[in-house]
Amino acid sequence: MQFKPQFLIIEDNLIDQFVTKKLLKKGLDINPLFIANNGKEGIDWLIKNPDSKSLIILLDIQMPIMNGFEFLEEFARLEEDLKAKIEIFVLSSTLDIDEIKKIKNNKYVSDFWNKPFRLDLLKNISL
Amino acid sequence: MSKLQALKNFRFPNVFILILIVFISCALLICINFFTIKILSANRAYVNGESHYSKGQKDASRHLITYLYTKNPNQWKSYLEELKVPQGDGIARITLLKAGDNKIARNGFLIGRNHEEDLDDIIWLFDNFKQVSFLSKAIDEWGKGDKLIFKLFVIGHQINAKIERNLLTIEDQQQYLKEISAISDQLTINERNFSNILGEGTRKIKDLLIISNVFFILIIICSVCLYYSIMVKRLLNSKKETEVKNENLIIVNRELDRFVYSASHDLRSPITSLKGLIEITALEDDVNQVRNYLEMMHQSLARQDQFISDIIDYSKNKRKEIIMEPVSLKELFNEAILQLMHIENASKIKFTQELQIDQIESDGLRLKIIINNLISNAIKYADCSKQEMFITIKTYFSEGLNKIEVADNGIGIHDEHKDNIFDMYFGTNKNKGSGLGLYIVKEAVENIKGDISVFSESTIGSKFIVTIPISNAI
Repeated sequence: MQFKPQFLIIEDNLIDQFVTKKLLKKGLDINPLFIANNGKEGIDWLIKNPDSKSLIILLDIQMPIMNGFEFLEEFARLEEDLKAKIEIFVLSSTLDIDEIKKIKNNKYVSDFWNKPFRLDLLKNISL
Repeated sequence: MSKLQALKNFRFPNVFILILIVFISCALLICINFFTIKILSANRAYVNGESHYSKGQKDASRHLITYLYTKNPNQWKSYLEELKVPQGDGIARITLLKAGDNKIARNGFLIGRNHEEDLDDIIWLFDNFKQVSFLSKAIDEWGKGDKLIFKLFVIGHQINAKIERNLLTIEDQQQYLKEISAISDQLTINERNFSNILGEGTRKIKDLLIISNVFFILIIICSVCLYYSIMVKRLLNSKKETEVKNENLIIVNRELDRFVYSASHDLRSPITSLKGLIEITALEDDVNQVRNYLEMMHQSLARQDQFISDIIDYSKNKRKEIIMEPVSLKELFNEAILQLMHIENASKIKFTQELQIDQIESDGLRLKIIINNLISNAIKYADCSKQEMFITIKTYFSEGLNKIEVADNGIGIHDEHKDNIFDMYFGTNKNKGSGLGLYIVKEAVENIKGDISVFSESTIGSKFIVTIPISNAI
């Protein structure tokens, strides 16, 4: 990866936030890194930062207030040129096959990953 | 209200009573028909007997008159033979009146040319109904007839005696002829009366029989219809009940699905957190950081542990029966606080207890669940930014009910969330709890038929008041 994108972690679990943050910093030396505690905070952040360059979102599914699916619905309503710069990866501990299928079929979702986050997952991505 | 109830009860009598009514009606109908047929058959036998009696008497009279004029001994013999028929009946009547069923009476009837198979009915009717008006009148006529038969018998012997001694004169002949004719005329009247009385009785019995048959058949038909309609109603009701139960089952199933889904996620999520922590620990060289990670691992496991114990509480609360027992609220509070002191910041919170009530009669398990969860929440959602954090626990008696109050000056509840806090898996921060706690509290409160209310303001604090009904009210 030549060029370092920004990261937004949308995750309610503090320990998982911490783990992902730590791995990204340690492994890829990624900075800055943004954190939202739920889908609503994530959307709010996106609206507040429309001029961000290319962005990778790591999205959890089960969250209070606004969950991952609701976030994706809200995300679909955002402006096209904003969405174009963003790539979404869902990071969840779900084992439900139907749910995983639903996530993978979402046109804004690039891939589904099982928790916990692993650095080698990012290496396969061409940004 | 009570009248309406009574009407309802009247409309739905016990089906067993209906079956009993049908059964009794059928039994009565069978009995009535049996005895009526027996009576009618006996009456027929009497009329038949009367006809033999009359024939016997008429033939005897005829033979006597012929004998009177021809003096032919054969006619005398025939006369005696024919007269035996009414005489036999007469003997039967007299012995029956005196002694009931006996051999002499039966023999008398047989001499009276009654059919052997009719004897039982004849004697049965005589024995049981001789006091009843129609039969007693008939027997009366019969008795009068028998007296005349005896007269005829005496006249016959007078004639015979005179013929044998050759003393019979023409005057005698005429005199006897007159007497025999008079007796015969009188007998005819008696015999006719006897038949008429029996006929009349038969007709009356027939009318009664029809009326009683119609009456009982109507009762049976009505009962059966009522029984049928009740059964159909019950069937419809049970069908409705089944439908409602099915719907409830579907709802429960859906809830269970949701529960399993959420539970599996919530049980798994601390494990994935732990895996992640292990991964970063492996990359870490700084011992202090590693200690920090270990602490996080501990937190993660504690969260899972808490979740499992919540699930157990949930299941206990659902399955276990309510047991009323003496409970010490003071002990429950102290136990709960002691158990919950491990929670972050718990030691910094000031606990105050104002217990006006200690010993109450209630369900210990439910109260423990309620108190543990309320205090646990108060600690978890304490506001660390405040200089002094406190939790106040009160118990008191008000408006005839026991009340428990747990108040804090924690972060409070947003207005938008107040309606949802008692929902299953509702939680604003899954790092703090499973989202089951207040749901279980609400269920536990409902189980003991109590009530829970919440007063809260965001950033100011929350107050939960639980109302516990006094034991005999449950």
